[in-house]
Formats: sequence, structure tokens, C-alpha cells
Amino acid sequence: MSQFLQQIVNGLSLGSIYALIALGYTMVYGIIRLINFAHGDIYMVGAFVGYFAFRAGLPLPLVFFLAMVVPALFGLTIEFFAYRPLRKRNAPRIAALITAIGMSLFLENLGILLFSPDPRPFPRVFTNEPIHFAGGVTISIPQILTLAFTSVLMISLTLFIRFTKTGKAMRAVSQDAEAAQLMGVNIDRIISITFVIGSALAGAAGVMVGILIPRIEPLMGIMPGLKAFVAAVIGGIGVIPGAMLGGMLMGMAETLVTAFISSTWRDAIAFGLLIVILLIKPSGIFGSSSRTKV
Amino acid sequence: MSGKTNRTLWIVLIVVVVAIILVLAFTGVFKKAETQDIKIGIVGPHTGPVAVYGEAVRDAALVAIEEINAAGGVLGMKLVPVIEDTKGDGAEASNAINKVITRDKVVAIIGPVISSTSNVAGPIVNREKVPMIAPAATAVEVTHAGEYTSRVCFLDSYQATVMAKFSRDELKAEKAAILFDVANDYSIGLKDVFTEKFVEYGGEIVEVVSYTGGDTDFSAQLTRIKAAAPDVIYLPVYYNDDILILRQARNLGITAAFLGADGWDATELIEGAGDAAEGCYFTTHYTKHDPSPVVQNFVKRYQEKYGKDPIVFNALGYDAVKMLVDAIERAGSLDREKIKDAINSTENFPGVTGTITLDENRNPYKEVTVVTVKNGQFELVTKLLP
Repeated sequence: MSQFLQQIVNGLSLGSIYALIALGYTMVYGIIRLINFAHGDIYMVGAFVGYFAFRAGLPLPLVFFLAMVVPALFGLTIEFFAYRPLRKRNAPRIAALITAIGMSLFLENLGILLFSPDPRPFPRVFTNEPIHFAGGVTISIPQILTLAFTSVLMISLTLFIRFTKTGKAMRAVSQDAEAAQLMGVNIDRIISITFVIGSALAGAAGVMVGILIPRIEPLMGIMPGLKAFVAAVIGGIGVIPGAMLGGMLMGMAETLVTAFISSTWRDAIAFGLLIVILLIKPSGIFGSSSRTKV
Repeated sequence: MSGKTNRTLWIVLIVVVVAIILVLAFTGVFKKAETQDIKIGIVGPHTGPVAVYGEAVRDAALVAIEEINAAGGVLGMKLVPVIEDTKGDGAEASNAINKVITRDKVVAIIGPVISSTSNVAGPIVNREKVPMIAPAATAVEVTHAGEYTSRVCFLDSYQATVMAKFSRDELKAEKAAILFDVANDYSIGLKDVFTEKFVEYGGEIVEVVSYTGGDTDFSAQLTRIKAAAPDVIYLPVYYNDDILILRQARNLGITAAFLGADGWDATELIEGAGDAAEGCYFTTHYTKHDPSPVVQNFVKRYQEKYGKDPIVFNALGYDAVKMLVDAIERAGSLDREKIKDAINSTENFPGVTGTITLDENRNPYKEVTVVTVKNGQFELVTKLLP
């Protein structure tokens, strides 16, 4: 029983990483209907910023700040130089998608060029000693940090979108961009903000994964990016609570399959789950064609 | 006879004589000076993806050759290395081996370093009857090619046997768990032998879990291991995964010692894992922390020439040359068949990687070095025979 509880904790902390990345996918999709494949690589940028910041001896809050700001700038720049010109020319959506794949390859190879393809161990930030709970469950400090910080980020994001003027504008753009523009919403600004927030969340996930799974490399964003994308689709792409639930489900499914079936079945079952959910509910758990996106 | 026929005869005669002289010159009859040298082929990947291993073997082989020549050579003759690159590729290896045999007429060959190219070279050297010592090819079939192929490194299975013995006899472990990479033959092979031997020596395997190379989150597997409460955990993987697993294991509150194999042998392990690696053990071919004079002499000479510490592949390359020279001296001649017989009857040869005796399959029987991590340093624990 204690092993089962422990596995739930493991699954939650892995899932919260997927959830943070999935949020970026889902927000961008909700606003401009673009699957931003470069998003997983933004997460890699966050991990590397965190790596160098820790190595420079900066305190934890400052590390997180930098690891969110730098990826946010990357997101902003990519949107401005790669996606916006396409949008202005009314390019077909497939062109934007291919640009996103190109951006992803660009960032990966830039990483290899700058940091070499060799994996490097992330600096040790916390003691190895875990905290013991009743029932034999132990939670390590990285796990606590991940769960707590992810919750804070998700709650703030939900509040931001629900209660601020910008949040209201984001919802409006996602619902009907043209109508929103006619009502005086600056669409370009809203899209930029969406990219900034999504990228900052991915950057935070990058640092947390560095602390939780202490190895980083330029291609580290590919698999988590893909899985977070799947998580966003499971939850209903474009729906924020869906991305959170989808990420958690994904992390939990992977951990439990590895723990109680076999690690070789992990991806097969996790992606099988995706197919089953999409067969039953093609728009994802929280998704519906008429429902308000974002 | 007419004068014309006479002249033609003369021309033919001259041409024939010149041709004979040229043939003799090219086949080396006139090259008396070279009979003073013993040519040894150093064949390995010096460029390409596995260059790091080939270079290591070559560099250390050169140290051994210099050392021997400085001490007066072998049978009064000087050793001359003939270096050829295989690029780690089968076809290139075949060319390189043929070249050193037919063009350079080497007495024996050290190499090719990796298993796949050694399997290509084996049939050639046995056909041409040139002795070959493989320094680092661990695949079991390498020496199946015939009597002219032997090696100085131990087989993978060998070190798992030693680790099983060490954990039962020295660590008094009753219960062992295993975590291995299901996508890696090296890892699977070690796991199988360890499981068999640990049980044979009276221990119990309480949990076996796997992951797939490239995975980064091991918390599910480690939680299972923790629930089984083993005394030791066998982890036959490479150091990169090792770092992640050790750190995640300590985060989950696993305090048992992890046991590994030669894939752990890299200083990056200590830099990456830090405290998490303390008190762990692994088997390897040699450690520079071994105080024995053979090892310390080698470490000193290597550092003098290259200004850095020798790694395992260096030690194996050095031993291969030294073992060959020992055999040539015992054979007392440069006859390749006699050298082959001398190599195959090597007994108690004091190498850097252990005291080597070749068995009937021309694989070495020698001690395996057990190393532990203590105060952020590798430290020699013991040297064990299986």
C-alpha cells in the first residue's frame, strides 16, 4: 500500500512537469490554432538557463526568474519573426505548422552547437535526504518543490485569465478573433502575451525537471514535448484545465505502468490511453466544439 | 648466327637481370638493415565515432614499445610500430589488416580495438597465420576465429561473476535487486550472469526491474526496489544513466549500496553523482589507485608522455604489447607459429590489468579489480579471481 502511495506521488510530480509544458501548447492553440512544435525546445532553453544560473551560484528565486524570463523572450522573438509574418500574409495553417517544426529543429541544433550534444548532470541544489511521511511514503525536496510551484503557477494562471482585463481579452480572441479586434482588442499584443506566458511556464518546467531528473541535453525537449502535446490533446486542446488534467493523467499512467506492468509497455499503454480517450471523446476530456476556448 | 640475333639475346639477358634485381630489391632481400627490427601492427579506430578507444590503445601501446626499446628491445632487436586506422568500420579493418600483413610483414598484430572489427580481422589473421591480440574486444566470438586470435580483456560475464561473489563474501549481502537497461546487450548479459551466480552462491534476488535506454525518470522502478528492501542493488549500466539513477534513488530514501560494472569507470560519475555514489562498488579492469609496482610504473610512464591519467583502454593496450613481447622472448624467434604457441601458453604474466593466464579458448583468466567510491574518490578495494 505504501508503495502504491509512493508511486502516486512519483506520478504526480512527473505529471506536473507534463502539465506545465502542456499549458503552453494549449494556450497557443486556443488563441491562434497553431501547434507550436518549438515549445518542447523552449523547455530545453529553460533547463539550460537554470543550469548556468545555478552554476553561477545565484539564489533559487533568481534562478527561476531568469529561467522564466529568458525562454519568454525566446517565445516572444519566435512569434515575432517566424509566426507573425505568416499570419500577416494569411498563409495557410500548414505553413505555420511547418515553420514551427523548422523552429524546433533550429533550436535543437543551436543547442547542440552551443552546448555540445553530451548530456550534463544538473547541479545538486538540494540535499539527497528525503522527507519521510507516515505509511513509509517519502517525498524528496525536489518533488515537493515541483508540486508546490506547479500548483502556484497553475492557480495564478487560472486567476489571471479569469479576472484580469488581459485574461478577458485572451478569452475573447480565442472565441472570435475578428470580433475581438472590432471591440478594440489588440490581437498582436494578446498573441505575444500568450507566447510569453506559455514559454515562461515551459522554462519553469525546464528548471524543475533539471532538479527532479538531473540530466540535461539539447535534445531533452523532444520526448517531453511530444508527451505534453498528447496530454494537451487528451485534456481537450485549447482548454486550460484540460492541459493540467491531461498532464497529470499522462505522468500517472506512465509511472503506474512502469511500476506495476513493465517499462517496455510504458509508452505503448500511455499512447494507447490517448487513442481510447479520443475514441470515446474526440475533442478530449474537457473539450467540446462549442465550448469557449481558453 | 647473325649479329642481329646476338644483340637481341643480349637485350633479353639484360632485361632479365635487371628484372631479377628489381624483384629482389622490392621483396626486401637487400634490405639487411630492416632485419634488425620487429614490426608490430597497431590496428584500431584512430578516427571516426569510436576513435577514443582506438587512440587510447595506440597511445599506451607506444608507451610500452618505447619502454621496451629503451631497455634494449626484444631478442636484441628494436620494436617498430606499424599504425593503421580502421575507422571502426569492418571493410576498413579488413584492408588495414591485409596491408600490415602483406606490405609491412608484421610479426604480430595488436588490435583491432572494438568487437565488430575484431570479428572481421580474426579469419584473416588465422588464414595468414599472423598472431593477433585483441586488447579490448569483449564479444565472446572474437577468439572463436582460431588459434591465432587471443585477447587481454576479460569477458562481460566474468565481471558479473566476480561482483556476485564479492557481494556475497565481502558485503555479506543476502538480498539483491537488479535494475538494468532492457535495450542494451551489455546490461542484459551482466544481469543474467549476476542473477545466476548470486543465487548459486546462496543469495536471493528479490526484485528485477528494467528501463529502456534514453529514459530519464526512474522513480517508478526505484520505488519498487525500495519496497523489496534489498541489501545491495546491481546496476550494470553506463555512467550517464548511473548518475541519474543514483541521485533519484537517494532522493527516494534508498540507502543500500549500488553495485556496477566497468561501464561505471569514469570520473564523470563522481562529478555528476557526488554524495549519491558514496559507498558504491563496481568491477573494472584496473584502477590507477592500485599501489602495485606494475600499475604505478605504467601510470608514471603514461603521465610522463601524455601529461594525463591513463584510462582502462590505455591499460589494456599497454598489456597487449607487453604480453606479446613476453611471448616473443619465450619463443626465442620471430617465427609466427612459435610466437602464437608462446602467446597461447601465457601463464601468470604480470600485467597492469591483472596477472594474466590464457585459457584454452585464449581468453584471459585474471583478477577483476573492485573499486569503491570513498570521500569523492575512486579507491581500490580488492582484486578477485572468479
